[in-house]
Amino acid sequence: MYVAVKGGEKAIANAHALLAKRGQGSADAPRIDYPQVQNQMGVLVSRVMAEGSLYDPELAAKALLQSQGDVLEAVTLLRSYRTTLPRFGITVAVDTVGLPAERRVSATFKDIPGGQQLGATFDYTHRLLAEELETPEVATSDAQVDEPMPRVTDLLGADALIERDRPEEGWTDPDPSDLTREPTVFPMSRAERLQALSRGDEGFLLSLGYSTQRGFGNNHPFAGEVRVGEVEVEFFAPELGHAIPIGRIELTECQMVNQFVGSAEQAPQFTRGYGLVFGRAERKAMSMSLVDRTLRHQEFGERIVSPAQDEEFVIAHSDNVEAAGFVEHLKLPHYVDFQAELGLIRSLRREFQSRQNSAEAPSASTDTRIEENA
Amino acid sequence: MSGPRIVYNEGYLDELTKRVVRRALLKGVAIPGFQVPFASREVPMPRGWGTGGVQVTASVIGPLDTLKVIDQGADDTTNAVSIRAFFEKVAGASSTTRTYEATIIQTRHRIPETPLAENQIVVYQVPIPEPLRFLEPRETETRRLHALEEYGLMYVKLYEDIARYGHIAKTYDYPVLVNNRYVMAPSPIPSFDNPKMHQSSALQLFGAGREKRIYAIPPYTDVESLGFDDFPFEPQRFEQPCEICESIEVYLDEVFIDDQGGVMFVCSDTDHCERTLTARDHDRITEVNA
Amino acid sequence: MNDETPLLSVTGASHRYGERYGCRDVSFDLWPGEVLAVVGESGSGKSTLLGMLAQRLALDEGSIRYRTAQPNGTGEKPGSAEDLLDLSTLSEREIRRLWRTDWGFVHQNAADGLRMHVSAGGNVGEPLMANGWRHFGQIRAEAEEWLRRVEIPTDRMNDAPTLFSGGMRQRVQVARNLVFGPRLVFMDEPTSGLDVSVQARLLDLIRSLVSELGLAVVIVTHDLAVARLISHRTLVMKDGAVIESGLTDRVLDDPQAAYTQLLVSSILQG
Repeated sequence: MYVAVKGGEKAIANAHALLAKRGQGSADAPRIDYPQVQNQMGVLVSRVMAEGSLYDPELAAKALLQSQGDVLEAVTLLRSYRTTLPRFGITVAVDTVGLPAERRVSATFKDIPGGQQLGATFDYTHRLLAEELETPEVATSDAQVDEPMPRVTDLLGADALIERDRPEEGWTDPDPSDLTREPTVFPMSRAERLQALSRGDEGFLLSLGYSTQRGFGNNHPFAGEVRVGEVEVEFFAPELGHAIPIGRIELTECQMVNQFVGSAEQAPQFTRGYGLVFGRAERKAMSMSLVDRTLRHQEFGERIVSPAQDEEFVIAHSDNVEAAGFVEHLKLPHYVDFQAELGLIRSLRREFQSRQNSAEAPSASTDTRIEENA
Repeated sequence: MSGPRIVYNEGYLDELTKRVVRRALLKGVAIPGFQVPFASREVPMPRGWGTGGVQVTASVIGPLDTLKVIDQGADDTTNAVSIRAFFEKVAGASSTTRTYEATIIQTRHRIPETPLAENQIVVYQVPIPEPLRFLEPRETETRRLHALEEYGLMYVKLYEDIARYGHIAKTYDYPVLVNNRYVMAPSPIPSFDNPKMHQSSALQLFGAGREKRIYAIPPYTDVESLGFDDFPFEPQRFEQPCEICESIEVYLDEVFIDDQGGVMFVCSDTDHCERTLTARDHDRITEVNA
Repeated sequence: MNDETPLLSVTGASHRYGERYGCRDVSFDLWPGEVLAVVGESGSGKSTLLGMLAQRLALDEGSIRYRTAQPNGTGEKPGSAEDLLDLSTLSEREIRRLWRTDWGFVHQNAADGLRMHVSAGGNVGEPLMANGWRHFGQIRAEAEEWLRRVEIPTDRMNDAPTLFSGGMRQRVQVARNLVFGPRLVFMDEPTSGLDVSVQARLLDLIRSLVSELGLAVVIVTHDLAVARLISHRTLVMKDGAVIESGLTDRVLDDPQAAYTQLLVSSILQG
């Protein structure tokens, strides 16, 4: 006697328990606690904050532990939590030149005011797997000259060699729309795109950026500046009548200098691509800046030759929370719809068979048109 | 550290989001079948697992409500269990498996067999809200087609099916014309269920979380499945009855019972099956005793 | 029908690409049943002109007026007065509607004018379905009839254009553009890229259909032989301007402008 499968609730509870046990790992190994993740896996924590759209290194570290290292799962946790948080308002636009950068390099000039500050980077390491990690002393120079580090793009901009970063006339500095609060509709403004790209999947943007370098929409990029450091976050409090600093966050910024354009009325200028991400995230910031510039093709009348230039394609598929959810939802039961398809394919096969049979019969009609169903 | 680090709002969604969703729902009810964009938020289940339905339910549910959640017609499929447990945790409403007791029914891929009543709300989970999506991938273009009421492309697809197979080959998520104006995707319910949407006494709400669209069919609205005059829409039929409760004209699940390919057919709507079986057994007992 | 107003009246039409004029100050009238060829080499502005007429490019200067069936352009009423309507006054919805009822456009590349993965029958049936036809049998019969008229056999009706030769694809395009009974058809180099013999057959077909249906046609071509074979009147364009116009036979047999003389003579030498 068939009994309809019951006990879905119990099965789920058991699955949760099994998952927790897997997360614990071996009983004799010490458990990691989240401050260790936060401190010793800073780059991963940055990624979770950036794609989770929530700057909270502690929570990001917790999410990583809870998700047993599944980055997209951790991002999903953070995004879900974000939904329940109240929003107070929008900060003043951050000034990435306001505080000295821990790391700041430029590929466009050999030397720049403030110098090429290498900072903490994997760039010059030899990628040799080490048995033990060393923590050498960092030499501190006595002359702690806080030399200003102006933006390289501002230096180029002084001679109008590069397009301005804001419109010439009538700039009222309006608040950008927020795609987590208002429904986005294509086509998007550049500000909305940048917001989507900043929280977009690093791997996806990396691949798209890479494709532009290989000819799928190339715009001759040069890394004008890559900058990692802390910025002051300020909030304008109406009751006080001025902005107050509410904390500092670490940001990575990339200014790409791209192919120049000009017209009969306008002298040729370099163009820009921009990337800005939470935490330590150079690869993401650079990829973002390549994709940003590529998506501006309409402003420069550039030919569309690649998927990276297709705004709908890029933005609609850049959110990995959505992507992971929809791909993985295929695991959910679909048997009702499958049943419907089974029904159809069986009847189509029956009809095919009966057509074959009647075609072979001596009195078959030679009309090749599809007969209406009786 | 002072208070707990992680705190959840009542009903999970923050108040602004609830307002945003309700506004979208009102617009949807005012324009039956029209897809209203809304700023969909992430909720604690992944995108594609009913986040649209969850946001709609979270925005309409209150402590006086009774919630039923089904997936594939059953109350105890894993996704339904998970969503029901979520609402038990974050909202003050009670829950049930009985269709006639529920004031809100959140569903994935089925409409209950039990006819619905005026005080009920059905919330459908929708993966792809745009009925033209697979014919025209661009959102900018499909928006225009809806605005200009240009649905020729939809009929081209139906034409192709008939030319190739002799009849329309869409068995689920079968497109419908709502209130004689908008073509709508009813979500992947089997075409068998389409007639239930027409002139329903209940309010029907549709949430697509990942795609960020909400739409609605107010009660007593015309909902017509597309077709040609000489090839009208025909819902799928099951010839056999349920082998447990003996109901006819209900949607059935095909279940393998041995490893030789033996199958049996049982109600997909578990609540309907259970209650019908109980009533039948009760009748048999009273017959015997009479 | 009022024979004193033309079907299409173009006055001083110009389109600019930045500072440069792609096409400047073009004026002509087109009458029902008349075929007008616009000839010129690449860069002459002929494609720009066609783009403006077909509402794909902005009309930067001048006006284009079309004689609709009803004064407000919303349908057919027998015996009603017909007015020339300035197209710039119409909404997007109204323009799109004209494309389903009054105008056709045959592209140079069939892939631009057809749904390559929809069957030939579906392609020809689509304008009918867009116009509200809801009887499969009737749609299919009408599509079949039009495919027959462009010499596509019925047993190919369920095949998608990807399986067709270039000439066949163009014929499907023609059928798709005629099935809904337009009054005016634009053609952009409809026979370029086809074999010479296929071209000739296609042009013959177009010519007989056009004359049978009394269509007005604007056909853009770089090939004077096409103009000769199919058109009543010809505009010759160079550097964005019309440098000569008149009856086709006169323009080709007795060209007045130096450039036209050059064009004509270069064919004889080639």
